[in-house]
Amino acid sequence: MSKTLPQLPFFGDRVEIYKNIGSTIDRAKEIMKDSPSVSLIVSFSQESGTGRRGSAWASPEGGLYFSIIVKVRKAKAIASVRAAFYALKSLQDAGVEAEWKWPNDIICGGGKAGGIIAQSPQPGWLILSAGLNTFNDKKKLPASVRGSASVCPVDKKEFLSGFLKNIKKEFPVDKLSRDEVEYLNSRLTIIGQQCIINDICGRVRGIDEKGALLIQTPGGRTTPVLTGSPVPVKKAPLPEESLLLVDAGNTSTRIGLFSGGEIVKVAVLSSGSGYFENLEKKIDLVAGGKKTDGAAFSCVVRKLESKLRKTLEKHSLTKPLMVDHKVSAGLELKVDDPSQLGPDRICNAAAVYHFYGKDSIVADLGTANTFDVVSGAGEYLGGIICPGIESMAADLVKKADRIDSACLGVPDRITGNNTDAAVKSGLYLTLAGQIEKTISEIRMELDRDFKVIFTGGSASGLPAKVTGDSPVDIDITLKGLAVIWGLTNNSNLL
Amino acid sequence: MNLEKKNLNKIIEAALREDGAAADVTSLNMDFPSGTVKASVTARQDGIACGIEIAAEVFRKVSSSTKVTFLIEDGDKLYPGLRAFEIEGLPQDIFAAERVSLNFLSHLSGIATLTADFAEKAAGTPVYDTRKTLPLLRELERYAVLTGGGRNHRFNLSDQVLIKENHIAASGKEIVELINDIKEKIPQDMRIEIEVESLSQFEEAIQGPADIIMLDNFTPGEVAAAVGIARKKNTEVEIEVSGGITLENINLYSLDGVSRISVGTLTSAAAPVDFTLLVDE
Repeated sequence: MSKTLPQLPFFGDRVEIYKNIGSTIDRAKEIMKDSPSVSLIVSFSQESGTGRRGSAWASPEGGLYFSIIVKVRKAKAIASVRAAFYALKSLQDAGVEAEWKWPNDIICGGGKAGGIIAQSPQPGWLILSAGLNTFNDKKKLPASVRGSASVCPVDKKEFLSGFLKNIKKEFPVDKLSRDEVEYLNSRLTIIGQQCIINDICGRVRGIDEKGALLIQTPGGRTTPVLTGSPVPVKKAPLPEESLLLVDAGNTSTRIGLFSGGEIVKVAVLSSGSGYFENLEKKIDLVAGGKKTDGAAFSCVVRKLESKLRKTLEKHSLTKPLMVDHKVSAGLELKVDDPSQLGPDRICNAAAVYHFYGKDSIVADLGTANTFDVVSGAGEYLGGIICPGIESMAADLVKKADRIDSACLGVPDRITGNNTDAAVKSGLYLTLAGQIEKTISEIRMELDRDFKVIFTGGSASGLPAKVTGDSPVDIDITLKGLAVIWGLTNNSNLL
Repeated sequence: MNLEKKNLNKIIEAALREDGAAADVTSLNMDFPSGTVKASVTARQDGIACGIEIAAEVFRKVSSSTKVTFLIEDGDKLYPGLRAFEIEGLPQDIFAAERVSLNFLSHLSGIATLTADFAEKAAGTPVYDTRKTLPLLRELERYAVLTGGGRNHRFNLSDQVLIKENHIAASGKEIVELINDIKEKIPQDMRIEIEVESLSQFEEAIQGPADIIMLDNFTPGEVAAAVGIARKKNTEVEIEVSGGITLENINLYSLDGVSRISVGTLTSAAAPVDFTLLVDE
């Protein structure tokens, strides 16, 4: 034990610094038992470090582990939130941009790099303890935690000095200021996410001035939670049931059989005369004459809704689910009026969130070309609706006297040498330009590198020049129906 | 397809077993690039599609993760280059199912196509199938006949009486007596049909309580005479024409008063419709 660490701005009665110790918390508790005094215990490795709720805290050499004993008026949950605030600020001052997972974890580069806990073994006293992976090499950590852990190589002295500057003899447990709340919310990793905490499930809205986590439940009510561990619910499992899924669009209807967690059979039907008779036949074909466990449909044509529901009822063992803005799609719809959002677009958004999970744009190319923007945190951020290429081509032929036909496809050369070639080239440029510009403008406005997923009738023939590396997922709407069916029927969590 | 799902599964499984689909030594000893491929089943001839569902089911039976996208359905017109359905799955799974799938599709589409040709030439007189089907495939073949616009005769020996030339000869009885005897013993709603070889046999048979009289190997002129006799008798008996019916002569038999024409060749001599499976580039 070396007696001092020079120039530490610590005003306390006692400072103990170790190369290695059993646990700084245990040492702090010993001191508390003997004669409580404002103290600092620092070590650079621990034999048996403990974390929150007594769990083991891996403490290899090269890390920073400390406990501080301070006075406290009344032990409150806010103590650890405030301590986290000081830790984040000190890391920032030392040049490390860290995030925070309420209430204890310091997150660097997506992994857990440290933790802070506040305990009060005796009234009037508080032990603040922290462990930080200040080493460079993650391999120092045991394999069991390496997956979720990370390191934050910060100058130990600089960080500790910065942290201690905030500590006074009595630790403040009054409310956080507005700025402090804002700062902590800006670094809260689970903000906007669907989480379960103490049997409450909802979206994390941030913290309040008491340090409580604010959970907004699906009904819209916000509940403050002072203790517990929020567990993000990123995805409900895909249903295991067999499902009959119907995506009824303006010009065509796609019917799919979902079984064993994937779409295994698909049939497409054009709108027009004999629609319901043909629908019946196609459903038979896809379902193979067997009733499915469930059914779900998305319908953009209002007058088809009730007949579609009745048709599906005959082929499903349970009541068909009609998707609209009221169903739980696992998303937060950040739009002025969710009822205006087409059910197909809700399905698309639910599917990309489930299957891709990143900041994504779904480009659905059909009668209209829609671009829907979904964040990796499950927020539907908005969209763009453009005329589809086939509608534009048809309109051109109808209105332009000297254009008799319009051929879609990739032109051999951009400068056409006859009317047909010029129209073909123009339509190609219209589509390619629309897609390129839309995506780049979205990326620029929201300042994120959105992944793009193409779908819709006109997407299957898109040349690689237009799609680039982006996947074409023709069944994304059907997959979204399955996801939403699962959320509605199987998950009592959401 | 209104077939017993259980039977259909059994037929597909047996066919795949017969073809050694589980032990394709070619695919099994090759290293395909990882991941799925897309392929499509495409017609190479004109015709009427039949067996799309069963053909697709063969792929799904080999691997339940193979995905099928139907592009047409049974009863649709085929032409060279028309894609019937698409498959997405592992190459080895697709190749293991390919032959069996196309065999079902070609065979059933052949029957539907030939039936449609006969039905068209028959100009309104219903065309019926017979029991001249490939062993164990009757249910499927009868479905193909329906798909082509034909009708089904009795399914098997158990569901309708049909007294043939040999029955009459072996019984040693007069035709009318024979029909009466049988009529007494069978359920009331069971139909009796009798096959006659000549006009004089027809005149005898029409005296009894048969529901259908089948004129076997009659010339069109003899059929016309039989129809005339029946009309004079003012009987409700149905007249069925059978034997020697071809695409060339069926129109001659399609007379007023002929209720049905049965054609063995619908199922016994239909040429398969050619399909091919192509893996997408």
